[in-house]
Amino acid sequence: MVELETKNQFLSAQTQAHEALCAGGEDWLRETRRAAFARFLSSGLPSRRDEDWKYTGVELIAEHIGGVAGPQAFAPALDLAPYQLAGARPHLLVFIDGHYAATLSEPGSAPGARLDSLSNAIAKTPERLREQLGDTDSLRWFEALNAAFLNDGACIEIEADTELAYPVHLLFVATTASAAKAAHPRVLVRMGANSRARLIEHYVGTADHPYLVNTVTDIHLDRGAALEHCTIQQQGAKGYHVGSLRVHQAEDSTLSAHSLSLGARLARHDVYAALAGQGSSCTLNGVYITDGRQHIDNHTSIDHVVPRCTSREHYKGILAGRSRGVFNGRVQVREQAQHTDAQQSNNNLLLSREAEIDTKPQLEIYADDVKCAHGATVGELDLDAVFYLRSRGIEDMVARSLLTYSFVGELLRKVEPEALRRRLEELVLARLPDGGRVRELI
Amino acid sequence: MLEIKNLRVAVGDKEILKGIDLTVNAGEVHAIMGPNGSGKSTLAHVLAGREGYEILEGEVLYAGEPLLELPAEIRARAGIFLAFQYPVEIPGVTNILLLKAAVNAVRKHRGEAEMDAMDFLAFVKERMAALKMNEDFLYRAVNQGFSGGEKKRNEILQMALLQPRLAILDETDSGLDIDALKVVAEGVNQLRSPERAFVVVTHYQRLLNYIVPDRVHVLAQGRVARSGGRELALELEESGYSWVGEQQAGGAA
Repeated sequence: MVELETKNQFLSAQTQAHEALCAGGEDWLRETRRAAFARFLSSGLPSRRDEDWKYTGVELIAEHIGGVAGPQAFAPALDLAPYQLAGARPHLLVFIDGHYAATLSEPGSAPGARLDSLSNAIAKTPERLREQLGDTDSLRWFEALNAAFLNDGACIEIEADTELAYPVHLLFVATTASAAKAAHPRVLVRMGANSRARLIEHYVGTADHPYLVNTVTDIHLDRGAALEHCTIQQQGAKGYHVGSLRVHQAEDSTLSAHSLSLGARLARHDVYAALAGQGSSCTLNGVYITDGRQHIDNHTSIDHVVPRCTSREHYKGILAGRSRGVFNGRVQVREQAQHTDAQQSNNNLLLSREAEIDTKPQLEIYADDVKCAHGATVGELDLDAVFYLRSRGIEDMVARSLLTYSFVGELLRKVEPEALRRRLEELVLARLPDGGRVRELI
Repeated sequence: MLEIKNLRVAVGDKEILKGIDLTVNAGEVHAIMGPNGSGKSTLAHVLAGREGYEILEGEVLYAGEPLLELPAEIRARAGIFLAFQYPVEIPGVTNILLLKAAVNAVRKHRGEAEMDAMDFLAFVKERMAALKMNEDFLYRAVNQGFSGGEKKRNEILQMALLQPRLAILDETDSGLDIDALKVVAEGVNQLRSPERAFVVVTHYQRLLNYIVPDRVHVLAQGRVARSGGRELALELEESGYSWVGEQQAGGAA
């Protein structure tokens, strides 16, 4: 009953915040928000009785989160240097508690590319955005909540045959001002035929209090488009992160997505990739590292809708302390999706007896001429390898951290460009005891 | 160099070494032979500092100092080297970086300056040539995808670089063809010196045709059943290990 009461409090706080938001804005936007909020109210918050949320309870979010974080009149004095990608010359868009911060951003410009905040895009081309944002029928749970509070985020459009030379870096910062509040950024990406780009969604938290970042990213890849996508989740230790990445791929398009999830008290990542055009391919790689009482849940779903598509998925987790990980990887091969080539694996390294992982690879094949493989492993550090390294003069802790690092290193090595790869490697090393010493060995 | 006195070691409830006495002086090569399960590899691992063994009794002195309390990495830095029977594959760690880290850990312990990348590369290439090893070994992950012979050669290369005072070879000959065996033996012989001692653990006498020992000890059921000169190894080749069991049974009767 306590749970129900908490959830009711959460709902009434949302309703209040929503009424305040809907007091202004354009009609269509207000209608979209209202429709999405109705969807949210009908689904409510997910519970463990919902199969997709079986291992991840959201009671803490209901208990700690009230309304929506507002915009700050002046951009706060923040040192963003630790989060920037030196050397990569990115188009940088900064969001503070979900609101675009023009004074902190350096979006630059590139021919054939629109690199704008969502609020600006809505103001400038409302009709175009209405088309992309108006449909709320399929939404539920946190995605519906995100649409209900639709306000800001990023709008990235790359014209056909355009190659973006530098990556787009979306940096979402949660500050102290968002204590007990939520941000609902929305990212829209449309890539024209045969265009190429790199996109980094980077979530950081600078404050030591509970807050929620509930994000939805929609990506549309036209024929032959190629996107390198990277999600970095570094929320604060008491933060909550719920993120949804939805990708629609036309023929011969390529998605290469990497996810590094390190922060937050509780993080949930949903990825849905629809291979809807023949010859399209997607790679989903992910690394999650948990410690203390952290909980990180990765739910991915790859939908082979048409024939001759390829998917490669590899997630690896390192779990320490009393933390918990969840991996649920669904690969669906529809009846007409002949000649599908799908591989999926999930490997986990448990560093303590109290750490736990629930892993569930899920292949659903309705076509008969396909090549599909999947597998999951859970293991501990190889003590033979630890002894081998120690017998060569390497200290015990360095040996353990080195082996832990090399467990996920193979996935990090695949990340491009180099400045981003180095950043990810540094973030992982920083999580390991004696990480600095390990750096000399890799 | 190495003094083992009445060493008794158990794994779980099982006593593996039941009172070993052995003295190895600098400049000597000792062969430890014996049938499977006699405790040869356990002795090698205990000397190198592997965890999971319970010392029931006895002591081991290395250069006059108690050895058994030291962690494995300190022993390595102090000049003890174990060539593994089954060298471990370490994906993601490049061979050359491990070699360099190992060499510098030893040098630092000795109070010597650490080697920079250039000096180290010259040093390692010279040693590799002596072992007929291709340079691409350096840039592969440690032991990953190496053949059995390549792994053993990599062990000997590490030994050649680390210049240990006490080298323990645990069944280095197992799984080697005769050519690889000769290369490995040659690598060991090049390192023989009046300051250095070797403990060569082997099941077969074949290796000892190429690494000629000063002393041979036969382990059986956790004890040194016999010690002698090189001729003892040759005798074993003739008669096998069956006499070991008989003698023990006879002794008990």
